[in-house]
Amino acid sequence: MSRRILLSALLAAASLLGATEIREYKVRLGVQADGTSKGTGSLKLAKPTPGVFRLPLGIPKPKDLKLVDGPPGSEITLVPTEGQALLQVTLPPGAPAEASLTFSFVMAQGFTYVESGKGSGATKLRMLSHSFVNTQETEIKSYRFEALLPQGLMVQAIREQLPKTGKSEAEPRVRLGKIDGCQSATLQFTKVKQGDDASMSVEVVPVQKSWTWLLVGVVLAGLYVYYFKDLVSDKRP
Amino acid sequence: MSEKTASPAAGPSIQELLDMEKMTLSSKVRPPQSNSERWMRYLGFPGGIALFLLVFYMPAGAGLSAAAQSGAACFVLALVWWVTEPFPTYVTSLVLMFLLLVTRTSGAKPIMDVLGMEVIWLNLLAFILSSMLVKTRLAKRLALLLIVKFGRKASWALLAFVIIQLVLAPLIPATAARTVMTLPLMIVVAAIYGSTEEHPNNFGKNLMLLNLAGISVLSSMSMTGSSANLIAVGFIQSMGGHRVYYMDWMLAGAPIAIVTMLLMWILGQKGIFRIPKADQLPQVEGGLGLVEHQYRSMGALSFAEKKAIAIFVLVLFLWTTDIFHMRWFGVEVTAPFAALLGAVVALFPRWGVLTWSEADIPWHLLIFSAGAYAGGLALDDTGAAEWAVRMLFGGMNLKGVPFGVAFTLIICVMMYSHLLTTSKTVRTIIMIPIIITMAKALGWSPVSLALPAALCIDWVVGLPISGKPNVILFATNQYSVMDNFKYGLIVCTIGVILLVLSAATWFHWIGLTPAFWARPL
Repeated sequence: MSRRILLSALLAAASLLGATEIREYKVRLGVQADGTSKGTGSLKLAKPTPGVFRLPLGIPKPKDLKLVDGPPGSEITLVPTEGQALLQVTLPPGAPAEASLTFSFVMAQGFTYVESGKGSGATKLRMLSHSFVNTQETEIKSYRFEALLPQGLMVQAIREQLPKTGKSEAEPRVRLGKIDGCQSATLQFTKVKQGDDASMSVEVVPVQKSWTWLLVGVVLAGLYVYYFKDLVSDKRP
Repeated sequence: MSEKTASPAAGPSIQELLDMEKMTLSSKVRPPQSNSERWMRYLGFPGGIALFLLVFYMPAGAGLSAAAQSGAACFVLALVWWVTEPFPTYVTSLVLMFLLLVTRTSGAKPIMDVLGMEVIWLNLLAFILSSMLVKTRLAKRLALLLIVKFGRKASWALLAFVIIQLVLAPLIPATAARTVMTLPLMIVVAAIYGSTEEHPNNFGKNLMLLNLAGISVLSSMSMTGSSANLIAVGFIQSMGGHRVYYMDWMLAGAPIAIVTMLLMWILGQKGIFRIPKADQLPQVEGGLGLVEHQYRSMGALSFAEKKAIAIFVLVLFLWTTDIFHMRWFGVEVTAPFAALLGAVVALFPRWGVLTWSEADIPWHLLIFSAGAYAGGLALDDTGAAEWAVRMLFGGMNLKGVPFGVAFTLIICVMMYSHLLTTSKTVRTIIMIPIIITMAKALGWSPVSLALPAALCIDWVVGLPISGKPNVILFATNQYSVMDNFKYGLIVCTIGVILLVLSAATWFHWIGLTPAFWARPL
C-alpha cells in the first residue's frame, strides 16, 4: 500500500515538472450500416513525462476501451463525464523519448438522425458528426479524425466543417477520400491549443441513385428530338 | 475621305446606327446562322441530357460527394446548352438553378442568394451608368472621336481599344469597372462598323472579344491587377518562403500579357474572325466624312454631358483610390458601392441625368449570370472543382522529369482550369498551394513554378461565365458562347506557349526559373 502511495506521489510530482508533447493524435472510426462502430486511436508522444494526463476523445459514450499497444506499464481508462468522453492516460517512468500508444473502443451508434422537411413529408437525414475540443493544456501538434463509411453508403455533402480553413492552410478542414475500399471523411486540424475545437458533420446516403432521373431524361430527350425535328428539316419555315 | 469607305448604298444611316437609345440590350434569341448551328441546337438538348446522366450515374470518385457529382452533372448539362443554345441562355440558367435544388446539390437559399451577389449588383449598376453615357450622348461623342482619330481602318480602331485597356489596367484593378467604363464606347464603335445586336459581324466579335481578353489578360501585368494575384503572392511567401516584389511580378507578367494582346489583335481580325475588306471601313452612309461631320455637328459639350463626366469621374476616383478609403472615410467604398453612388447621382430628380425608365437594364442577362454563378458556386462549395483539379495534378507523375516538362504541364492545368470555376479567388486558393507543395516535392524552387502559374490567374476568357467582364460583354449579343470558347482557348494557348518560351529564355535569364531541361538533384 505504501509503495502505491509512493508511486502515485512520484508520478504526481513528475507530471508537474514538464508536460508530455502530443505530436499526433489520430482516431479512426469504422461505421457499419446499422450504425455500430469500431474505433481505433493512436497517440504519438514526445518527451513523455511519467504521470497521468487526460485527453478528450471526442466520441460520446464509447465502450470497451482497450489499450492495444504502448510503453510497458502504461494504462488507458475512461473518465466518466457528461459531455465528450475523456481518456485518462497513465505513463510509467522510463518510457522512451518518443512513445506511441494505440487503443480501441466501440460505439453503439455512429450515426445521428436529423429531421428534415415539414409535416407528414418530413424525412430523417442520416448524419455522421464529430466534434473535438482540446480541454487539456498541452498543444496537440496534429489532430486527425477519420470516419470510414460502410460499403453501399457515401457522403451526400459536408454539412459542417469548423473552424474555417486558415489562409496559410493548404488542406481543407474536411477531406473525402477512400480507405480500404470505403469512402472516408477526414477532419484534420494542426496546432490545437487548449480550448480550440474542430468539428465536422457529413450527410450520408446510399450509393445507389434513383433511376427516375434516367427515365425522365430519356423521355424528355425523346420528346424534343421528335417535336423539334423541324429545326433541321429541309421543309422548315 | 468618303471614297475610302465601304459602299454606302445598302448601309444604314449614321443617325440610325448612333441612335443608341433605341438600341436596347434585348433578350431576343439569336437565330442560327448556319446549318451546323441548326444541328447543334437540335442535338444540344439531348446531348446535354445524355452528358448529365453519364456524370450523374458514373461511379463516384473517392473524394467526391454525391452533391459534388450531381453538381458537376448539372453544370455539364448547362454548359452544353449554353454552347449549343437549344434554349436562350437565361432559360438554361433557370433550368440549372432548378436542377441544383432537386438534385440536392445546393439548398434553396444559396441558389436564390446569388441574385444578391456583388457581381450581379455591379452588373445592374454598370448598365445604369452605361445608360447615362448613352442618354447624354457622351458615349456617342467619345466613339465618334475615337473613329475620327483611329477609325480609318477597323484594325486601328481595335488597336485603340487595346491601348485604352492597357492604360486602364494598372489604374483600375476591378475588371468589371473597366468593362463598364468602356462598354458604351464598344457598342457605338461596333455600330459604326455595322455590327449591331440584330446583325453582328466579325468586327463586333473581334471588338468585344479583344476587349474581353484585354481586360482579363492585362490584369496579369501587375500583382495588384486583381485581389487573387495578391492572394497568390501571399501563398508564395507563407508556404514557399519567397517574397515576390512588385517588379518581380511585372518583369515576368507584363511582356507576356502585352505580346499576347498584340498577337490577338492581329490573329483575331486576320484569322479567327476574319474581317472582310468591305467591313474594315465604317459601314455608314456617307462614310468617314459623315462621321467627322457628325462629330463636329455635336458642338461643344452639353451640360448633361458635363454632368455625366462629373459623375463618371467621381466613380472613377472611388475605384482608383480604394486603398485610401479606410484612412479617409473609415470604411471601404467597394467597386459596386462606388457605382451605386454614381447611379444615385445620375438618377437624382432634377439634378441627375437619367430616369429609371431610361436605364437599359438587361434582366435576362442578370438571370443568366445568377444561374451561371449558382452553378459555379455549387462546383466550388461541394468540392467538385477542387476534386477535378486534384485529380488532374494527381494523375501526373512528374518525379524526375526535366523542369521544362513539369512547368509546361502545370501551366496548362492552371491556364485551362478556369473553365471549371467561376471564381479566380477560389481557383487561386485551391491551386497555388498544391503547386507550391508539388514544387517542393519535385525539388524545384516553389517560386519557379508558382509565380508563372499565378500569372495565369487572370486569364479567364474561355466562357461567358468565367468572369464578371465576360458576363457583361456577352450581354451585347455580338458573339455566341461558341465564339467566346474558340477565342478564349486561342488566347489561353498563346499564353501557354509564351509562358513556356519564357521559361526557356526570359524567366531563366532573370533568375526566376532553372534551366529548361534541368533535372532535379
